Amino acid sequence: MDHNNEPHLCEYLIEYTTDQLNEMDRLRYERHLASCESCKQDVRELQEAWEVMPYTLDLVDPPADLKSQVMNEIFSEPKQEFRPFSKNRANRQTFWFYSISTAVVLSIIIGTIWNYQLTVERQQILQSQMEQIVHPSRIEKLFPLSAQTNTTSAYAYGIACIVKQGDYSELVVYVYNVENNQGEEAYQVWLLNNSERTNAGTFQVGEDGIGVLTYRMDEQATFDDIGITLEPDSNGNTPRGKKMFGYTG
Amino acid sequence: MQNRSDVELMRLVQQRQREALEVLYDRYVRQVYSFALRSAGNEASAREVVQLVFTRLWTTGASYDPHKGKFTSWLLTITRHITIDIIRRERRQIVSMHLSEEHWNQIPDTKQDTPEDALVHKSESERIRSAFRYLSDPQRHLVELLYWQGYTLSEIAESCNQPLGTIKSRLYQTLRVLRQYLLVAKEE
Repeated sequence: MDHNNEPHLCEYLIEYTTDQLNEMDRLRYERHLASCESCKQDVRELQEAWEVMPYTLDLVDPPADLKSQVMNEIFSEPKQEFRPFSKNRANRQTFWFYSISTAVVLSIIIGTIWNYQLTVERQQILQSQMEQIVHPSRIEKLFPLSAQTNTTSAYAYGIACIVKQGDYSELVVYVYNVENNQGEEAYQVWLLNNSERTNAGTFQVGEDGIGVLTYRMDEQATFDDIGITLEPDSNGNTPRGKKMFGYTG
Repeated sequence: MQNRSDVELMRLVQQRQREALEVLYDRYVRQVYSFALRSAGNEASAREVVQLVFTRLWTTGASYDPHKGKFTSWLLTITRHITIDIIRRERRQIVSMHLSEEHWNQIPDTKQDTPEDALVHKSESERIRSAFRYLSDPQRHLVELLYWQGYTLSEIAESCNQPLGTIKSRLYQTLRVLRQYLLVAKEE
């Protein structure tokens, strides 16, 4: 991007330095920085001053009981258990109730991100939202998802995590800033383990650009890569459409 | 485990090794707690911040990229975001921004004093504190509101009945002055 084409972005200097741009403007400004030597130098110099603030602190010893409290909270099991999924129909309904509830709450929380004025790395925002939904001790693994830039919006991003639910695990995927699918189209999640592909289901993306999927993992299931494609319909067992997201490793 | 670097410990945290998290806790809890206490102003909030910061380390270990800066800076950036999130949540309205227009107009555009006058301390912390002495009271207050109390530039501008551009310009001058004295102090 040529700096001269967007000189107004120079006005974001102070907001950027002080972490006050929203996610989209922060990304725009960072692209601008790549071609604006004046802003680049200003940012570097102002950040030097901005980042010394913590060094003026008088260090205080935290309360002695704080460590055990923090560790207990992180490592203890949550009080409210998700019920294990079973073949029993009632339990199956419970499973779907929790899955859908999780998806709805996730969507609501993600929707509030636009009001989140502090600049936080995108994945950190998503992961912190995840912490509010899923007890940290239940998250077994996180998979940041990056958009394939030639097929998706530059602002699209996502995350997947494996969540322990009693005696089984569940995969939770959500993506953000994605174009909504048209007609019969569906986004489809694929898990890869040693090049062997598993279909993990499909999801829809509405006009709000948010998509959520939950998928119960088989007990012994494992995978080392994850991808999301945009398919012509939700009936396929092999990818036919373009890859939209990949695991960033 | 105690001798491991921050990067190594974060890698172990990613592999779900509890002891690595505990070592990081022991290493950095004073900074995190002190930061939160300074910013939020009460023990209960500071405890909550510590809880959330280390919970986030446990769940987002992969986010730290050593190529982008020091671990401490990264950790304190997370701490600040969480702290401000909490104090903004608790703050229903702006009630304590005692800054009149007259006060703002006293913010100087240039340095007030010569670097040679003070700067007798040599340690990093003292060097930085020395540089802050060259800020005027309104400049320090602006930093206090913005950095420590988490007010936005727009909120400060509105509260002081000043154009946003004026506040931004004054912060620019404040950071410039601060950096200038940091550089001078470093050379001494």
